[in-house]
Amino acid sequence: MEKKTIKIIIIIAAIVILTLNGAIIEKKREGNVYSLPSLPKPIAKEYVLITSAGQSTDAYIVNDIANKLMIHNYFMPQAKENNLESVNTLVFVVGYSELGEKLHGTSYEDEKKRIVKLLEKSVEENLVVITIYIGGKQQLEENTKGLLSLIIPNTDYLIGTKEANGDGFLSDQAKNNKISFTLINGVNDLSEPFASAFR
Amino acid sequence: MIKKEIIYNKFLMLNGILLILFGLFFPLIIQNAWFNIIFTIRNAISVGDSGHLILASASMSFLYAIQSTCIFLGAILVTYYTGLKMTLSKFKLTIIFLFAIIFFHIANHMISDLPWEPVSTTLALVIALFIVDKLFGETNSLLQVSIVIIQVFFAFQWLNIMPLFSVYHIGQSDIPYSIKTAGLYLHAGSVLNFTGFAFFLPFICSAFITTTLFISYTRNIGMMKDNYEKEREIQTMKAKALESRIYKEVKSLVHDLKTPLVTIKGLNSLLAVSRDSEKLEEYSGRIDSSVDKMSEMISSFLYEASRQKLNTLDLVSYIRAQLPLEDDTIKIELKIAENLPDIYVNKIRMARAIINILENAIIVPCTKPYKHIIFEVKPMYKGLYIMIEDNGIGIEEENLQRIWELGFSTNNTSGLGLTFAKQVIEDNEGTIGILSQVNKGTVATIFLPSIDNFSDRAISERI
Repeated sequence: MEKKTIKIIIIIAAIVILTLNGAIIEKKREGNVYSLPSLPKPIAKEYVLITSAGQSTDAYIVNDIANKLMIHNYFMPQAKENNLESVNTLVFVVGYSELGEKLHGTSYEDEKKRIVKLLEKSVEENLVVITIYIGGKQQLEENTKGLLSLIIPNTDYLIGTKEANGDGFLSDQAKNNKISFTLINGVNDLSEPFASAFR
Repeated sequence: MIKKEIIYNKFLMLNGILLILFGLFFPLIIQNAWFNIIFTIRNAISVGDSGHLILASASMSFLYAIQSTCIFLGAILVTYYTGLKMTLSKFKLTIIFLFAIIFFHIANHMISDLPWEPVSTTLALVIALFIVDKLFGETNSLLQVSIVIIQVFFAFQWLNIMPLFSVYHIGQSDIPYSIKTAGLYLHAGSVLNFTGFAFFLPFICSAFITTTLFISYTRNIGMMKDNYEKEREIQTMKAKALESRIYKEVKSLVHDLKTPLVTIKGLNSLLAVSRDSEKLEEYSGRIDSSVDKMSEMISSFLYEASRQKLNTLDLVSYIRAQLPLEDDTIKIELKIAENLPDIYVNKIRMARAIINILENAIIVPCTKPYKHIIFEVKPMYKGLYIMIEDNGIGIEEENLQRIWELGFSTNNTSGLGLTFAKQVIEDNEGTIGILSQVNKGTVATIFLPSIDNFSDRAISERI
């Protein structure tokens, strides 16, 4: 057999193994499903204000889920404290996106200031705060962790992904702040715990 | 020349730096295009259409590919034309090149805040380096390298949107991850995996196929150039051989000129001693005739178009006088008919043409005990028929088609004789044909039109 043919076979085999391996790891993850603990009783009331913390597109997914669940909501990725009037629940969808912030003409520091003001107002108004993080491990970098650390102490219910909790950051934060906490496998498992906060 | 080359190299190096700078600032220049991708992802989520995600993926892959290609090509130009290639080993150069491009991508991230994909970009980079090593070394064409490299980078960017490869830290930056998350939310993970493969495989294969085609094209062009050079060399050699032939012709002319000169000299010495006026007139007339003959011979030689009315027997006598008949193994049989028509030809050239054919018959190897050559001249309808037949080894059929080609010979001769003969015969409005049978012999037939075919006016104009 020619050397060239052997090389091609090796390359194809490598691609197939990598692909199958990826699929197996995915399956393993799916197999190790965390039993979705829903909140035993609702803690939040409508109307809901869904906002983004970090301006990633994840907020749009949560907004879509809320719409599908028929939860009355206002979707304002850059909501300010004055938008909290006539709102009973504040939902933060955390995910830092450099491009997202650029698109909205804001910076990380400005975003933090906005969040702090929203949290202050929510405490003032005694609003329920739900924090959602649907990103992965790689996305849980310094800036996202900074945003989460800022929001979680004032949060009533935290929903995060199992992948992101690889280093225990989310569970530790929830434990330290004594808040209800749900880990989900992926974005498609979000509906149930999210709905349980309202119904 | 060297100065020009140095200036050109500096120009290319400058272009390389400009390309790198363009690559670095590219995301800032087309910032709106990136924002549009985010809008497309949001749109996909709100309308629940994964088709928008594929559109976003294509835009993202294209923008990343352009940016990486610019940086890569710029780095090639800088590396190749700064002299680094000469001073560093291939391995060191590759490592420096690899780190330089990774550094430029990180710098790009810092300048434009656009996250980069380390795994897929590095993989693409390794493949691109492999291809460049093969392609740029062979073709030295930046355009061809660009065409291939953009395909490689474009192909690898499609891996970023495949949820299947997330475990290998591929597609973890802002936009690819958003596409994947949205895709998973829309239950389009398989669609993204399939689309990623559907673009990655054809483009990567196309890159390798294009590389192979470019390399073989360049090699073919190289071979064509070599062949052209060889052909030129052959033409030069043929020209030299032709020159040598002309020299031979000149020699034969000079030899022929000696005859009338000797006549003139002899008659001149008689003039000095003769007192008889009648004899003086006769000698003077003969000297005049010899001078005319010499003039005619020189004109015939100098001017190809120069032709004169000629008695065929004069031509035959002239040819006979030139033939080498010392060899006892060669028997030349002359069959000269009576009432031969006059012809209208360039005597010297026509004689040389027929002698060439006769010489071919003389030198051709023969398996028989002796060489028998028949030289037949006879009148024919509206002209003169000349036939030269030998009993040599003959010419093989495949070679018979090529005997008129300049330089073609089966007897280790210059291969100019027959070409020259054909040319002269055709210039004099005649025709020539050759028939041959292996081990039996060859027959050359020549037809020359008689003088009756030419009007007086045409003759006077040609003279």
